[in-house]
Amino acid sequence: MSLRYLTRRLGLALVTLFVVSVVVFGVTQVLPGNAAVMILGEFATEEQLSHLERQLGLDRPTYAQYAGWLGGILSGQWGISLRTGQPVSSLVLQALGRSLLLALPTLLVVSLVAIPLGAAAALRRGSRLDLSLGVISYLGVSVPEFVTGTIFLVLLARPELGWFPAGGYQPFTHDALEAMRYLVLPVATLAVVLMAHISRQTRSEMVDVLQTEYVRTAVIKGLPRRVILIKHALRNALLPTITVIALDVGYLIGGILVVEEVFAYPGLGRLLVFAIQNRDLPLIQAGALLMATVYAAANLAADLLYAYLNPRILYV
Amino acid sequence: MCRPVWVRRFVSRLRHSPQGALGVLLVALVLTATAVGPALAPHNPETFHPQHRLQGPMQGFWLGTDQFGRDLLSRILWGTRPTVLFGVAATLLGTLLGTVVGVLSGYAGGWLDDLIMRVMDGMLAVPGLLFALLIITALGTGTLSALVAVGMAFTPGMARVARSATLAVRTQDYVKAAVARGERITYLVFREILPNVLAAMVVEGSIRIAFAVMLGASLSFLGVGAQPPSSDWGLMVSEGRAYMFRNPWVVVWPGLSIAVVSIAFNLFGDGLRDILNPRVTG
Amino acid sequence: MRAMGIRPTHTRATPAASIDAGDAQGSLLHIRDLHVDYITAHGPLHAVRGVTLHIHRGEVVGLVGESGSGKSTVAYAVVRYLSPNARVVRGAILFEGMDMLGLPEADLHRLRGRRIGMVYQDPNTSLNPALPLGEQVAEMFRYHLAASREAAVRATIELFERVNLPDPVFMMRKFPHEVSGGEKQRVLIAIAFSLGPSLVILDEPTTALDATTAAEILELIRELQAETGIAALYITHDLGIVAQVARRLAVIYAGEIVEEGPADTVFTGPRHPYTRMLVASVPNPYRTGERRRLPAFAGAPPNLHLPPAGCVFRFRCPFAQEVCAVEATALRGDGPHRDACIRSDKILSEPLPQPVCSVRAMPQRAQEGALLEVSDLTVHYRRSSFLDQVLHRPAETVFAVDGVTFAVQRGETLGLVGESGCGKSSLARALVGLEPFTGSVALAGRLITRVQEMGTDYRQAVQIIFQHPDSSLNPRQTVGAIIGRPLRLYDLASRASVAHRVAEMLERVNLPPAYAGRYPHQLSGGEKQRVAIARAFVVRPRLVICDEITSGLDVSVQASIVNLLADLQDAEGTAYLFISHDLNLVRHIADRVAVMYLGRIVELCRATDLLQPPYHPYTEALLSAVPVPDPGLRARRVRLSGALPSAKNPPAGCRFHTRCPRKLGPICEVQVPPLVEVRPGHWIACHIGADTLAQAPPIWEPVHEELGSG
Repeated sequence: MSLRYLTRRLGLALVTLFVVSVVVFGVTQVLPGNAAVMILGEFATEEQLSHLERQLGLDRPTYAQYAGWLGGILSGQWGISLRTGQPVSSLVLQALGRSLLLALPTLLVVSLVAIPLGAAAALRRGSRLDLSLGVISYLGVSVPEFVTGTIFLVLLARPELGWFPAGGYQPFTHDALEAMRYLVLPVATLAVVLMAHISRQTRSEMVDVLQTEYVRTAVIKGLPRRVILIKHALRNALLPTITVIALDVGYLIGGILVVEEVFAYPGLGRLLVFAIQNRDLPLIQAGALLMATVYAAANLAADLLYAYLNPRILYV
Repeated sequence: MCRPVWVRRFVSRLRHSPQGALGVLLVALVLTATAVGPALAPHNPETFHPQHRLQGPMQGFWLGTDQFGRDLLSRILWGTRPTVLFGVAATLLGTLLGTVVGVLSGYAGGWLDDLIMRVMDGMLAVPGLLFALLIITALGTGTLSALVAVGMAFTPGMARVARSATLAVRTQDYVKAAVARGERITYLVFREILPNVLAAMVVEGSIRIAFAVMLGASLSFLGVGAQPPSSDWGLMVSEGRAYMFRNPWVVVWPGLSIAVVSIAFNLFGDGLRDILNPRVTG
Repeated sequence: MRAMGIRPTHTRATPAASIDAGDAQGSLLHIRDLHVDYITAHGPLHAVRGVTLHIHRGEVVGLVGESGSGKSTVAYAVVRYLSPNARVVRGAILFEGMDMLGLPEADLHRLRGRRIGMVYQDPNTSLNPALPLGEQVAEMFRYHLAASREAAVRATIELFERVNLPDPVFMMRKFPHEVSGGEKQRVLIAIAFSLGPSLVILDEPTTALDATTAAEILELIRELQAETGIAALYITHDLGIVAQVARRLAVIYAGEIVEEGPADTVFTGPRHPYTRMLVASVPNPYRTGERRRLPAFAGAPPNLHLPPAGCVFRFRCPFAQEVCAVEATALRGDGPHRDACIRSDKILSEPLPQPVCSVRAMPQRAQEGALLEVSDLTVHYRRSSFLDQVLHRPAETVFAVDGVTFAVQRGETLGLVGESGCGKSSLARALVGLEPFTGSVALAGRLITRVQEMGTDYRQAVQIIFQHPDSSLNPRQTVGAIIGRPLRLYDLASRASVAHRVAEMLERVNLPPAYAGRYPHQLSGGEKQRVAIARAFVVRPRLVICDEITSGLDVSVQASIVNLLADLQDAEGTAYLFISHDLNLVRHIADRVAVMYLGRIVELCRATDLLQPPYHPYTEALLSAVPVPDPGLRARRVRLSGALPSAKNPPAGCRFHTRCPRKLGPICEVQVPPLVEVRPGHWIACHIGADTLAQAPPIWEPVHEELGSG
């Protein structure tokens, strides 16, 4: 892969993150007008307000605030949580780790299941498999995660049954098997939406590819069916699916925010919601920025993988 | 002089798209419920009935009651407005803003286009729900803020669609013919380009309504959207969660309602796309 | 409506009956009474109705038809790759004695690619974009012959050499998007011929290529076929091509074969009225001198949901009578040349109806000077990315049009010919103010040096019609609005009289006035093009630029559009700048012709001058690349070396020198040849003297050899 392409993509990702940082900063610190009022409430006294302002550096001009803030972020000083008094970095990073325990298994399960399902549905268009997959994935896309999660809880987490806990988390260091029980329902909830998206996308791409003229050429060449499907069709259908998986990381992040709430799972999502409910500015900023960075990294990885697999892009 | 050509096609193609037909039916049902639902509610959604708390479906309370003894049926019917109208309004807002930005960007081209798209990309780099939450942080909680937040979260996506539609139209020969004739910019944008971009926006918008509904419900669930005593369905789920093992109906009915509305608008949007998209008819 | 083809295609359960006697005996491919329907939302479409065709070993048979005639359906039925909604309702296809339609899937795999090869119309989409070219050929050997990787590679390299691909070893590793259309088609041909099949089906293999490339590919196909003796079914709409390639041909119209026979007799003595009109409406280089209008067909092909009873051609046939509506038609006649017209014997001596005003008078050279004078016009595109601007790198400049000078006289038709990339479209766009340019344009003496100076007068006087009828009309406006808008814009009619003017205009382009309320998607391609013409003419322009307006249309529709343009010119005295890549057509309808290559005009002359030398070497190559619809004539092969240079980096000096078969020497590389008037009214831009050029042998010569030996 050409270095030029790599640096261009990296550059674009950095520019995007820069814009994101401006957006995050602007929305949380600039827009509200007076952040101090926002934090302390309307009934705070003048003295309390000005004290907080000086403490947070809010009396400086906007660009200086931004520069200072950005400098702090980049050097690892993410500030102190207003609500809990703990350093933001440790809070956020630990929570990120726990969220990844949900996110990565979800992505794994989804990729392994949804892609073959979508491809199979495309090959058997109109069959029962295709139609039932279509209906199920339609439902999957149409039901918000908090509803799915709640339904799972109602059905599978009844205290009398004792199958799955109704929420919470247990570290893996104590009892791995037990800890996994806490992960099953949240992962299942997240997986439902993602599987619906990705299997639909794979099916749609596969259908498109099967109708192309180069697949027609492959068929009339008399190649074995297996070769046509895998070497000619699936490979070209997977390329756009990679992009969709990257996009779905975005859905995943949104889903995590909600699902961690539903299952009271102490991940980054729940932390961020907590921060927003309590107007904990440093926590909000760091958390949002971290999530956006993860998303950008996923998109960059997808871009690079796509370029690696698609020879046409390499020479651009 | 541009008549809605899709009105004529609409009726004939509806027959060929069963999901579209179903979507239209369901959406009509949903909109009717939104319009007249509250009038049909047997009880006041905010009235407590302490003797009948957390009941399943029974006489007088056809869907059961919640933890305060409020009638679930009435709450669901009254909840159509904050949920459905929210979705439609937020989508309209996002579509309007996105169309303006996208058409401007696509038509102008050059550095302006680049700049606007960079900013849109930056906004898109923050996942939707997160973006909406950030905006709510700035605006404060409440249904109105949530509406603005969701609308703004939709804007970059809609802008991209509008921009690519504008670019596609701009390269068509009939636009070139108009330029060669010496038409002015206002004519070009409003008479030649916009009518053809509008179709794409209508389709994209109707597909997004379902997403807006779900997003709004999620925001209410998280406590930053509709506030009590509203009978927004997301809020109902959030409030009823603590009691869901005692009376699952408290969360099942609102959850189901959200799903039905969302499916209705999804089917409708897909059906509309099938009808308006020439490729499918080829 | 192409299929995925992965699912088992629709087959019949019963095996075929025995082979017919007669000239179908011992044939390699025997299609008997084939009926194919497409199941659509509006009911079954009877696309192929009773087609019978046979091909012997080693024979090349042409199947000629226009779009929608069913010719491709027949081809794909042979390899059993029809759309999922296609049904073979009757008939048999026997290949090497085997019943193709009843064959199980497993055996079909073995036949495809190995005993039957196929070459497709669009080389750009027919190759897998993600695999290298070598791999796509080598896999034929690996999977069909179980060859080792090394053996497959060696065989592929040999094959690449045989199809004249430059640098075969290097080519193996290239991807489709890195090579030209002509090279891709060679790869596809290599794939089709790779395993030595008995039959190769070619579905319009040259339609998507430039004239000169197409000629080379055609030549390659003929060589390969003569060398290997492989039988071929050559499908095309182009009579010129089929005359050069096939020994026998069959003409298909609306799903039925209307005539078949040896190529020479069908061309010299067509019997079915459709064939007769088809042959007559293709401009023949030898008949250019009279510059007639082309005989045009009335009406449109029938709706195949309800095919008419009796003869399928009768609604458009100038000789139709009542009996044609009643009797069923089938191929009839003794001997090899047969046709499906029940009146063919009686009408053989009747001439085809000729369009009114056969001969056009040559417009006088006006005393007041030319209508449009173009002087040193240059159009260039600059592409600079953001990075270039930051690093202050020079931008990439494409000189699409590089200093072009010519004039268009009042009332004349100036044809502008060139292949893709020559800049003719950029020139057209500049002349109507769509592209910025340098140089000058003078309309009736008024000088214009920038687009901004083109006022309302100019824009009204100079109109343009585009190539693609689908994109030249706003889909959300009615036909009436589209035609009426220019009237309102230039304030030529009050609101009340617009409708009247529009109706008038519609009649003049032979469309019913009721069409004013219709939308573009309700019109056919030819009708849309007429609306575009109406839109241009409603303001009574003095010059109309036609940018490849017939290129996407069938031959029959093309003829009627050309006649319409001639009618309008006679009535209004409008001048035309007729841009096309089809030299044959241009020569037929234009008064004068300009030939463009890589942004420059290389020759400018009267149309009649093109019948004999002197020619510019590029014009010579173009003329020789035009397939002649006369099997008795063969064009002299003028082969151009190399590929078209990129417009970003054009060769210095004479731009044609990198490919010129008559290149003089270093002078061609250094000095730009000026346009010199070698004969009165005939300019050529070449360093070779006119007298030397005049000594070139004629382009077309009679031929006596047998085609398609085998």
